[in-house]
Parts: sequence; C-alpha cells; structure tokens
Amino acid sequence: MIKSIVIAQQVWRETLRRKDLYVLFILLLAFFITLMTLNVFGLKSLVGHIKEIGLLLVWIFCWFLTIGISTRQLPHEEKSGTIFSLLAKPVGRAELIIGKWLGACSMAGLATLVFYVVLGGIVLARGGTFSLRLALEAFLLQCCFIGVLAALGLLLSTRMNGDAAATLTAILSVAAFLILPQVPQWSANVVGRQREIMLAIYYALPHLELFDLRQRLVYDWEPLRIEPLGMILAYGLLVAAMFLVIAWLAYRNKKFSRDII
Amino acid sequence: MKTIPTPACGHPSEGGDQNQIPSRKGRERIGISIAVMVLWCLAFALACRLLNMPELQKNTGEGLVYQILGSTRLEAGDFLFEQADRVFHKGVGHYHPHAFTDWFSRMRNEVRPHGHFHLHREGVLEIMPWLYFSVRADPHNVTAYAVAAFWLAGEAGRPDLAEGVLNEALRNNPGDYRVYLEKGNLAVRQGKYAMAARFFDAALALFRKTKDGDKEQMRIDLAEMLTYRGLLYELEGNPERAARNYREVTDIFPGRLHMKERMVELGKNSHSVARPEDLLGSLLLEKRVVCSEHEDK
Repeated sequence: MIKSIVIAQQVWRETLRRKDLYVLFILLLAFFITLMTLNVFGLKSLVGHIKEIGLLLVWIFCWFLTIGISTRQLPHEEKSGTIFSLLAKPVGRAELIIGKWLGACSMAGLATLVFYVVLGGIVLARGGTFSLRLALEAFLLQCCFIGVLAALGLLLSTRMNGDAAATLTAILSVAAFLILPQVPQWSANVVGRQREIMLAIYYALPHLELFDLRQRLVYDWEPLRIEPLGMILAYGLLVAAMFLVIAWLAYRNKKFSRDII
Repeated sequence: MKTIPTPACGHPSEGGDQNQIPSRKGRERIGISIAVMVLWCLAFALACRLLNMPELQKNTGEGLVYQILGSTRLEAGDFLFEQADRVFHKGVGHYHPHAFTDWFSRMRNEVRPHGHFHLHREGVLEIMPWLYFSVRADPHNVTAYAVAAFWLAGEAGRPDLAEGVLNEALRNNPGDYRVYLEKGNLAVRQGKYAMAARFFDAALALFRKTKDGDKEQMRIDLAEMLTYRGLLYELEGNPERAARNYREVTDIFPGRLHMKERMVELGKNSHSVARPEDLLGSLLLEKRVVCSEHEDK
C-alpha cells in the first residue's frame, strides 16, 4: 500500500507541474464572474442560476480533469521509458495501477473540493443557501463518480495510447451519463433484437447518473436517505474495483518495447 | 577571451552556406506552408467578397452571433424556455412512463427529485435568468417575454421592470399582437384602464392581420382580448359594444355560459351584477394558475 501511495504522490506532483488544473480554475472563475455580473431584467440577488450553471461547470471540469489525469499516466510512463525504471523497483503492476488510480482520484477529488468551496462561497456571498449535509452527500457521490471514471480511463489506457483512451473514456462516460437513464423509456417502443441490444448496453455500462445530486442541491430538496446513499456508494466502489481488476488483467503481462521511446 | 566562431552568422563563403540550404524535407515544409498561406488568402478574399454582396448587407437589426448561429438559436431558445419551466417545478422535468423498473430506476428515483411542486413568492423569480437567456437566444420568443413580464409584475412587484421587458419585446416583435395583449394585461393590473383599452384595440387590429401561428392558441388569445376589451367597454359606459364582444367570444367558445348570462344582463339592465373591475381582477388571478400543484396527488 505504501508503494501505491508513493506512486500516487508522483501523480500529484506531475499534475501540479502541468497547467491544466490552473487553466480550469481560472476558466471557472471567469465563468462565475460573468454569471455574477449578468443583469437579468434589472433583477439583483438571483442565485439559482449561479448554483445550477456553477455545478454543471464543476461537473464538466471535474470530468475533463479526471479523464486527462487518469488516461495519460500509463501511456506517458511507457512513452518516456520511465516504466522500465519503475518496474525495476520492487513494485508490482497491481500496485502501479492502484497507485495511479489513487493519485488520479485524489487529485481530481481535491480540485473538485476547491471548485465546490469557491462556488459555495459565491452562492453564500450573494445571499443564497446550500444545505451542508446535501453538499457533503453530493461531493461524496461525485468523488465516487471520479473513482469510476478514473478506473475506466486507466483500464482503457492499458491497451491504448493516451489520446485514444481519453477520447474513448469521454465518449463512453458521456453516453452512459446521458443515454442510459432514457433506456427504460425508449425500450417501451422497441421490440425483439433491438430491445435486447439496448438492454445489454443498459446493464453493461456504468450508471454514472446515479452519482449526480445536482438537482437536489440546486433546488434545496431534502438530503438523500442514508440507505440509498450507501447502496450507490457501494455500487460505485464495486464498479471501480471491477474496472481496476480488468485493468490489471490487461496490464499484468503487457510487454514493453524500447523501440517506442 | 576566446571567441567561438559561429558559421551560420558569418559570410556564406565562410562555411555557413551549407546550413542555409534547406534539406528536401525542409523545402517540402516551405512549399506546404506557402500553399496553406495562399489558400488562406483566397478564403479570406472570398469571405470579404461574399460579405460585401448587397443582399448580405441588409440591416436586419440582429447581432453577428445571432446571424452566425442561425436556426440553432431557436432550438436553444426553446430549450432554455423549457428549463425555466423545469426551474418553476423545482427541477422536476416532465414525466415519461417507463417500460420496466429495476434497481437502477429505483435508485434514480431516490437521487432525482420527483413530484409536482412549484416555486412560490420570490422563489419564482429564479426562472428569470432562464427566460432572459431564452429571449437572448431567440428575441422572437414572445411567450418567454410574456411569462417574464407576468411574474415581474406579480410576484416581484416590479411593474416597471415588466414594462421594460415588454418594451424590449415590442422592439424585437413590432407586429406581434401578443406583445400588445401582454401590455394590456399589465395596464389592467396597474389600473390604467384607458391605456389598457388602447393596447387591446391595437392587439385586436394586429390579430386580424395575423395569418400564421398556433390556431388553437390564437382562438384562446382572441377570446381573452375580446373579454378584456368588453369589460373595459363596460367601464367606459358602452354596454352595447361590450355585448358585441361577448357575443363574439361565445361564437368562438359556445360553452362559456357566464358570457351569455352577462350578455343577457347587459341587454336588460345596461349593467351586470358582477362589477367589471372585479371581473378584471379575477381574470388576472385565473391566468396565474397554469397547472395545479396538487393535480397529481
């Protein structure tokens, strides 16, 4: 476990050296300032739209960041040749994958926490409210989402280059998020083989929409009950673990060539 | 101190000439760069030529972004208007029946808010940004302007802002009867009956010229305009013209028996039991109940 944490620390350092995080943060601030300076029919102190658009931006930026960090780790090590010196140390491939996953999750989670704090500060400063318990639940579920997404990104990057893995992770995750919740409704109008294929996709892809508590948070609904919260968290951890195991299976016997350096 | 000779900086004959001759690959790159530049210049010239054509120089009074986005902005406007409706229902969208219910559906129901609820009092104003975005995307979305004006004059208690919204709607849609209808409603709400009568007259005149639109909605709007104008005729002391308006309403909607009763009362006594001022107030109140919060309970 210590070895995995050391690898995770290396991911943090690498991410902090890059500019992605700072660019996203500045972009987020720019969006927030634009939203705050908007003159809506002469009305002041409206805050609902800042919450809604702000949370949407936090989700989008967290999505970008998680995919970016997780999918470039292994291909970058292989491309630069540092994988040889890394694996020459007493580090197993499972530990390497877990370390990379831990690093990607914790970095994206930390950035998301900062985004939440900034958004919360702006909303409170404008006289709005955020239920603290609900905000914590939303953040917890978003961390779970980050875990699943990072595991999927790592899994795909074990057998692809960084760009291909990032693109495929983005397509799969966006499709899962947007399309899967519509399947129970659409399947009413479809029969036969088409319906079977639709249901196969429905059960095969991760249900990322379950981690999205934005609507509750924006419209001040009551917090999620503990029982469904626990079940969704368990589901997220299970899916992430499954992806990590598949990633390890795909990576454990992978041969590296020095020619690619 | 020793100086290091730099061949590339010296005279070509002093040995720097070999570095200055581009390789074959370099020549190819230069060729490609020149080709790209030429193509870019051609594209730029063509764009300038096209934009200078007289038919493209018509002043439509619409911004550059508006023209570039084309019909996409209409879709965006509709989407944002629907978003305003969703915000009004506290984030709950339209209900769609599902073919099956499984663990994921149950969890989704737990995560997503459901039920039929409305925002109340100042909370309603949270729909304003979405209406604002909607009319920015599509300035011809009169319904969005009307909804914004209605809530600004009502819950926000800011008829001045509502008037500003309707003036903007009028600037963008000068020939649309619905803007005058809303301006009339606003004037009634403010008790400016003479002004309201002028707006309803203008709305009716524009309505007669309107060819396109949702026919069913247009019938409802016509009945509304005639009813309001009829009540205002009563206030002006002109029961005959009021009765004529009511007759027209009953021709459109024969089921409106209270209109028929009112016509009979006006014919007999030249006035009705229910005062027109009270009816104007109750009509405005009726408008706000667009869907009942407890209808699905």
